Formats: sequence, C-alpha cells, structure tokens
Amino acid sequence: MGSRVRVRGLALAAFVVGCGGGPRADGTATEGDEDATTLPTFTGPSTTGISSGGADETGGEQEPSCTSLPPRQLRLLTRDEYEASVRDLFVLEPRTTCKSDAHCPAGAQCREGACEVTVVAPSSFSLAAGGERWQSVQLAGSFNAWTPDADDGAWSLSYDAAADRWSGEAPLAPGEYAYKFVIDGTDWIPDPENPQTADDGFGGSNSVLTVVGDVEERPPLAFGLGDELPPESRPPGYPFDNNAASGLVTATHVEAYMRAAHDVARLASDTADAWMPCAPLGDAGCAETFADDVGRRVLRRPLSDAERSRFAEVAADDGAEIAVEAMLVSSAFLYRSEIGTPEGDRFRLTDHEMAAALSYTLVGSTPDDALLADADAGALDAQALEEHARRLLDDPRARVAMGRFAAAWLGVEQIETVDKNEGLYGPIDASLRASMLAETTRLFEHVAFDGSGRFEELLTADYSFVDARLAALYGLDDAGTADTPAALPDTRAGLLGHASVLGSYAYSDQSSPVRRGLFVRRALLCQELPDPPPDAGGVPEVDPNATTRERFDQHSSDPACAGCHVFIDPVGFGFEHFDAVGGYREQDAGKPVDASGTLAGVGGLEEDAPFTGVAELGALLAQSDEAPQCFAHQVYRFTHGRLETEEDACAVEQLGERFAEVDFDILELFVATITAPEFRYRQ
Amino acid sequence: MNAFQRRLSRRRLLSGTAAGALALPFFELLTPGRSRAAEGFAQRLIVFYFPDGVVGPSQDGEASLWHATHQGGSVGLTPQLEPLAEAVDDCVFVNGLTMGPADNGSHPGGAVKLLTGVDGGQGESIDHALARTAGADAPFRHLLLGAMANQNNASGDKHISYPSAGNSLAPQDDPAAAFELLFGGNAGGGGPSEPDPRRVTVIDAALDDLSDLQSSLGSVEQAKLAAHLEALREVESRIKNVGSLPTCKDPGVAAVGDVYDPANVPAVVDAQIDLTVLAMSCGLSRVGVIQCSHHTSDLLMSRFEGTPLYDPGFDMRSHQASHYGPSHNPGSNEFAAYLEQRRFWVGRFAYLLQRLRETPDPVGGTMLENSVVLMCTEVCDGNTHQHHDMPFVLAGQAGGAMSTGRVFDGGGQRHAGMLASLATAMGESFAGYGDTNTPPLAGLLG
Repeated sequence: MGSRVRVRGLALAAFVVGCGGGPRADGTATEGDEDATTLPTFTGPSTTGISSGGADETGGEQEPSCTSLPPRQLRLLTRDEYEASVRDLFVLEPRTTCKSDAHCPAGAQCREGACEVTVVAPSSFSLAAGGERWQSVQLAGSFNAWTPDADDGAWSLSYDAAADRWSGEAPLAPGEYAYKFVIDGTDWIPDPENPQTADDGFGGSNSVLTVVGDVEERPPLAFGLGDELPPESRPPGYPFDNNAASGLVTATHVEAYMRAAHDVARLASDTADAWMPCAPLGDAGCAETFADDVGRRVLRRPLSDAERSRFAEVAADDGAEIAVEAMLVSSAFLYRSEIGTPEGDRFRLTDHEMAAALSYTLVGSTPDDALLADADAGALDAQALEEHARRLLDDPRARVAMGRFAAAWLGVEQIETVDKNEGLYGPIDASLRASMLAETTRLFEHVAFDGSGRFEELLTADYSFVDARLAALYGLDDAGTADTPAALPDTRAGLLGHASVLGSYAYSDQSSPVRRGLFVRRALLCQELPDPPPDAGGVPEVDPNATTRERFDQHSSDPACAGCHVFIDPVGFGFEHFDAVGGYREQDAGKPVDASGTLAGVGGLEEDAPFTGVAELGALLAQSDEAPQCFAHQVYRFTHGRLETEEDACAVEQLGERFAEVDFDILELFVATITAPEFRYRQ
Repeated sequence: MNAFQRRLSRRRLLSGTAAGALALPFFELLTPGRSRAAEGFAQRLIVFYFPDGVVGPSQDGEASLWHATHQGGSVGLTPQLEPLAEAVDDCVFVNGLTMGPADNGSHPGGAVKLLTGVDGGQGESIDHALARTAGADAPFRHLLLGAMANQNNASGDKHISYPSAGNSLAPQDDPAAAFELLFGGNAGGGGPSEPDPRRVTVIDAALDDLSDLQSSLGSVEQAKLAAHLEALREVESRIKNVGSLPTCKDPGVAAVGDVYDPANVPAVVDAQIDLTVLAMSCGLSRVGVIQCSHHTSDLLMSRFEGTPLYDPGFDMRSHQASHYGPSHNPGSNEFAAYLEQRRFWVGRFAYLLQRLRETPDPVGGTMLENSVVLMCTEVCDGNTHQHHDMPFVLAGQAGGAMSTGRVFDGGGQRHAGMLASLATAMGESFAGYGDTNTPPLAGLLG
C-alpha cells in the first residue's frame, strides 16, 4: 500500500491520508495500513522550517522567514495566457465578423462579413466487372492529367470480389471533370453508370462529373490561434494548466507557435495605430525604436543589445509583421522567467520578473504599462507590489482570471465534455453546459469581488446565478438575472449544489458517491487517498430496485473497502439528492433519497461529523480547519506553478496563517501570495 | 466487406466538416534517403495503446483468456486475439513479461512504466529514445496521435509517452489538426521547393533567442531548454530542407466531427491509423504512438455504432467493464462487454497491420515487412491489475530483424528488455533499458 501512496507523487504539504492510518506528512504509509482501523485525524501542519525572522514593518520588504524557498524556474505560457497576452499587446478584440480572408481560418474566405468554406464530399467511382477478370482498373481524367500509368501517379480502383466491383474515391474540388476508366492499362471506357457524357474528341465519349460543394460558415479567427496550441500537461493532483515542470516545448509546439505568431501578426497589422511606434521597414532608426518599444512589451523587459539588433534587423529588412512573429516565437516571450539575480545565498526575482508574475497571477496576462514603468524604475518593492495588486484586482480581466482559477481548482471545466445519457436526462447540449460552468465561475467572481469576499460564502451561498434552463433543471421558479442571483431552496447551497460540480463528478447515467466524495477530499480538503486495491470491484451496475446508496453498500460492509471508503462514500452520499446532471430528486429507484452522511477525520469538527445534504456539508466544510487551508494551498500552487514539496512547506503554512488573519478573504489571500517573501525570492 | 463499402460505412460516421476524406489509394511514394531495411532493421516503430487491460487470469484463479498458446508449432489464438487471425503470421505474441513490483495493481502505476520501463514514469519512454536516435533523420521525429486521450482534462499520468523523466505529453486527439501539422505546411501535396524566407527569418531568430537564454541561465532549467532547442532544430530542418522533403501526393484528411463524441471514436482511431501509415509511407516519420483513450477510461464504448458493443440503452464504460468480477462469468454484463471491447481494440490493431501490409514500402516490400509494431495496455487483467504476464503483441518483420508467426515466452523477465529489443529492431544498440537496465531479450528478435 505504501507504494501506491507514493505513486501519486503528492507533495508533503498536502495531507495524505493513508486510509486508516492517519494523514501522512511524508507521503508514505506505515506497515500494516491495510489492517488499521483507526480514523485519520488532522494533526495540523508541522512547524519545522520556520526560522525566527518575521515581518519587517518598516521598509515594506519582508525578509523570507522560511529557511527553504521555491526553486528558480521557467514557466511556459499556457494557452489562455498566450491568448490574453497577444490580445493585450496588440489591442485585438475578439472578432465576430471578418473583413478579409486574413480574419478567417485557413481555407476559408470572407464573404459579406462571414467566413465561409466550401465542403466537398469525396467523389466515388465504381465499375461493375460483370465477371471479367481484369488485372487493374485505373481512373484517368481531367483531374489527374489523364494518366493511366501507375508510375505517374495514376489512380487505381480496388477490386471487391464479393460485389464483383472495382471502386475507389477521390477528394475533388468543386468543378466539372471528364474521366474514363482504363482497364488493364489499355482499354479506355466511359463510366457505364454515369449518364452524363461529353464528346472525347476521338469519336467516343467521356463521362462527365460535376462536383459541387456545400458552403459552410466558420467562426472568424478570434486572435489567430484558437485552440491550435497543444494542450497543457499537468501532473496528477495538480488542478491548474500552468504547471511549470510540465511546460515542455516539443516540435509540435514550435509549429503551433509559428502558426499562431503568423496569424497574430496579420491581425495586429489591422491595429497598428494602437501599438506600432513607427513603420520600420527600410528605416534603421525606426527599426531600433520599434525593437525597443514593441520588444519591451512583448518580452516584458528591456531588450539586451543582442536582442535589439536582432529584432531591429528583422524589422528593417522584413517589416513589422515578421518582426512581431520573431518576437512571439522567442523563448523570452514564451517562458515567464522566475530566475532572479543573486542576493546573498538566494536569488531575488528581477522587478520585471515580479511584474510578470503579478500580472499573470491576477489578470492572466502580460504586465501593463504602469507595471512595466515601475519595473523599469526598479520601484517594485513589497509595498509597490501590493498597490499594483490592488489596482489590478479592479481590472475587469481579474474577474475573468478568477473565474478560470475557480473552474480549474474545482475541475469543473470537464462539464463541457463529460458524457451524459440524454435518454435519461434530456438534451445536455453545449449551451446548457456553458451555463453550468458559468454558474460556478460567476459565483466565485461574485463572492470574491461583490459579496462578503469570504471563502465560507463559496460553500454556503443560498443564492446562485442561473439562467432559465438551469433554473428549470434545478426546479426554481425564477432564474434571476446577470446581476441578481436567484434564491436557492434549502436543499441546495454553494458550490456543492452546482450542476458543474455534480455533473463533473458523476457518471453518464448515475450519480457517484465515490467521485463526489473524492472531489471533496481532494479539491476542497487537499487530502489524497491511495488507489483502490487491485481486486477492488467496479462501479455497481444500475439496478432499478436499489438506490445508489444501497448499491455502494459493499464499500462499508467489506472491511477491505471500508478502510478507505469510510472517508469517501459517507461524504458522497450527502449529494444523493442530485442526479448525474445536477437535477434534484426526492426518490432514487423508487425509494426516498437518504442524503445523510458523515465527514470523518477533518480537523476542527467533531469526529465523524454528521450532516444531511449539501447545504449542511458545505457549512461543515466552511467551519473546518482544512478547507480554508486547502484553498490557500491551491492558491499557492496556482501562483507558483508548482505542486508543493518540502521546499514550499513553510511558505504554504505561512500563507494559510495569513489567510486566517485576513478573515479568509479570497482576494486578500491573493494579495498575500504577492506580498509574501516567497513571491520575490528563490533558492 | 470490401474496402469501398468499409469507407462508405465509415463515412456515415463522418460529419463532412472538412475538405474531404482520406484518399489513401492515390498517394505517391517517394523513396526516403536512408534505408535501414537494406541493413536488416526496421524502418519504423509504431506503438498502439488501448486502455484498461485485458481478460487475463481471474481473481479466482482461472487461466488467462488473452494469452496465445503454442499448438504444435503453430499459434493458438484466444477469443480476444481472434481479430488477428489473418495476421498471425505477422505477429509475435509476447507472453510472460513483467513490469516489476512497483505499484503492481495500479492502472496509473502501470501506464507510467509501460513505455519507460521506469517506476513512476521517471524516465524517457522508448518512443522518444528512438525518435531522437533511429528517427532523428525524419522530418517529424515523433508522432503522438490519440483518440479521446485527453478526455475530460486527463492528467499527465494518463499518458504514456515521456520525453523526459516525470513528464508525459498529451497526444493530438484531432485527426484534422494532426493532418494540418503533417501535411499543411511544408510536406504533402507537392509543397514549395524553396524555403519560405519569412519562416527562415523567424526560426533563425528563435534559435538565436534560445541560445541567448541558455547561456544566460547556466545550469538552471537546462533540460527544458535543451528539449526546446531540439524542437526548434527539427522544425528548422523542415523549413530549410523543404525542397527535399518527401511528398505525399493528394493526401486527404478524414473529417470526424466532434472528436470527443464517443460515437466518433472508432472513426477517429481509424483516421489516426491512416494518418500514421500515410505519413510514414512517404518518409515523414519513423516513430509513432497511437494512444486510444487512457487508463481508467470513462469512454462509453456502448456508443460505438455498428459494432457488437453498441447498446444505446445502456452506458458501458471501458473501466466499468474491466471490473467484470472475480471470475470469468459469461453471464455478467461487464464480462461480456469487456471481452467485446478488447476484441474491438485488437480489431483496430489488426486494421493497422492490414494498412501496413497493403501499402508498398518505398524501400521495397510492404510497410509491414519493414516495421516493428507494438500493441500494449497498462495492466494485464483489468480486474486484478497485475503488472505480470503483460499482454503484449509485436508485429511486422522489422526489415528482417524479427521472425513472426510465433509465441514468445518471456519467462518472467522485465518488459524493459522488450523495449531494448525494439531499439535493436530499429538498428540501435541499447545495452539495456529502464531502471533495471534490462538488456534486449534473447530470442525475441531473430
């Protein structure tokens, strides 16, 4: 069992539950775990690794009080960060219409503001052999220069003995084509099954094929890259897309970056007035200015001499567009640098590195002019960082970024793709799924920016932002509006009652106490459980005569399962009033739902804390020691792009303490990550 | 069913959103510059992965229903392997290899060891080791295509291809995007003969930038930057040598619609197979991985229309079926579905072999004769999750390096030895592979 715990690679600072053996500070389990029956109890973080240093009240520059610091690293921009950055750098607005083909995806043309492509089904050709034993049948026509010679790329049909037919297909562009079949390389005949013919000029006739396409509309390029950048990889247990260690550049990335840079540069030429200092082509003086000015914004720092001359030369020789492309494929743009400069036995991030870290953390994009100006001036001490942080939190982009943070933290982005059985639940289409996701991001945004600001409200809110369809799914009379949330019934409260959560942690055709219970343990409590033993059974089949709770009964009756599942299922049972898509139900398999559960082994609560339903579960979690501490962990992970290890343990612990000091205010926690010494210093 | 009918039935699944369907019969073959086949080695390696194991030895001790047997000099196939009936002579059924004790019983623990041979995935996988050696002269060193391999934001431990210790790559799940990458730029369709000066300028600048960064950082993050540099050089080579790139005439792309609709997965798998074969047939790449879904898969295989798995009234997931119970009970829904699911994956592997067999190799013979192909999954039995007696099948004659049509019994040796043997088949000499540094297995090749 120990090895199974280890494989999860979970960091020290997270509270690893070795089932029945208590939380594991070092990610290992002791002998005899399998037989242990005691419940894990949260013992609180250790105090090792904290030196006696403390806040420096005078200079605003707090010295690191932790003896260990996170390592220096390069952080590849995520797809979201890339897109936001180029949008902000070149003042690009999301397009809804096109003005030219350049605004359309490859192969599409702009016609009256819409991007259109002509879609053509492949053309099929077929010839009945009629019992003849031909060796070959080629297709020759105006589309392939009438070649019957295999060495010249003739198109060969293949023979199917059962049907006694030769057949094949070719992707032909729209147009009119003449063709013949060539039998055994010598015998040219028209297609006997095609009535359309034309004189072949040799006294015979050619078959004529008219290929027409269907015109389909395509969305214009938003900023030129769409989803073309490769998806991020992330280690297990790390919920965000910005893991620094996983951010590797492959040849596939390079191709995608080059394509995206090309598209962005084309789009940026439309908005040149907003960002281009002068036209550099053939103008060496302007080219230097261009390189310095645009390069500083793209690379988020002043250019080195080598960079200046490199980009200026491209700008002067090849023009602004190619120079922008070159900047956008530069490693200095693609990686956020957290390298720093030596200061004693550690490294202090440069002001420009801090400006980038601050901006990407809070608004998900590149630093703005004010931040860059202070970085240029070397003015980013802790106090200035805090002022910029508070300023940026007022930026509308911060709301979007916070919503994205919440969706990733909770793992609810998958509601957009997770399969649902529409035979059971009706249409769960893209628009309804988008509403489900929006409900969650909107609540987080509202609580953080407009509500109490407190973490607790995420779990206890008795209101939510639902549209008409979601209201119908929830059985609400009123949907509320974008600004006015709808009141929720007693049965549903906070994030735990959101369809995005309930649907993401369920199967296509049934709820899942295990997935929902694990969601609470992992995302909300930062507790990791080992994999099930090799001989664990699967999910019990849907049984029309048994409730979900009854079907999962083996998990508590079988001691081999109960060791772990006592921490999982009794939490998940609390969600049982909600089906696999988040709809409310009074009955399961014809019997009344029992949504009572227990939350075992959580600090700050009684042992085996009982509850019924998600509203009570949310309230319990809000009172627990772990849930807010876990949230601080998640914010630390997100800010640093790391699944924390021993090097981060002290910093994470201090961040959790700081969260309590600010009365669990979400935005203050983000500010605290920015002002913490670990934000500025590296090992 | 003939090829044309098969295409028709497949096209029924295609949504017709892209420019056309595959036109495989009509591409032109050009001879790649280097011939390993002439030296008696494989021209290429293809790894075909499917999720969640097989029906192996049951928890109650019943014998495996997967492993092929020796039957008086010929191969005895089991029902799960039966879709390979016509390909028996092209296969080596590899029994008796173990992935070692670490994390035995775990899906993720198996997936991370599968191609790395290293516990916890803390090593480079064999596909990458060969991409940068035997495959380094190909325009695309490494192909990594998937079918719903990133379903629902799959974490990295669900992916099997490791370019470096502890870091896996996410496969490209969209055949249209993969096609664009392979054929949309430089290669395919008779591309330009002169390098695009714009792309040359941009890639040169990127190389200079990276070089600056490398020298300014010293030892920090050097592994990451070295990988980045290799990636830039690979693309640089494609840009600057565009005139000598192999040309694949008139390649099309299969339009598959929503690649995350389970109903489309059979079409996606076949499209990724077709693309891999097409790209390799004209020398664009020597090393490819096709990852179908991922371990503990939620893939609703009951929505595969036109297959025996199809059951619109019931949602059967891969992982759900894999927990078929303690015994081989044909009366169990899960067991029956699980067996059919395995047959489906083996059938797609058979399709891959068929495509390789019917495609002439530019160096002579068929592609299959000059390939080494591995079919694998991350555990043996899907219910017990053992990492022993792993269900591997090798195929292709590897340019003469591997005799086929037999069962190989590994006798409990580490599977890392098989990974080392793959290198041998590709003409590379690896003393050993994996954290056990297991040498190539005696008798596996030859």
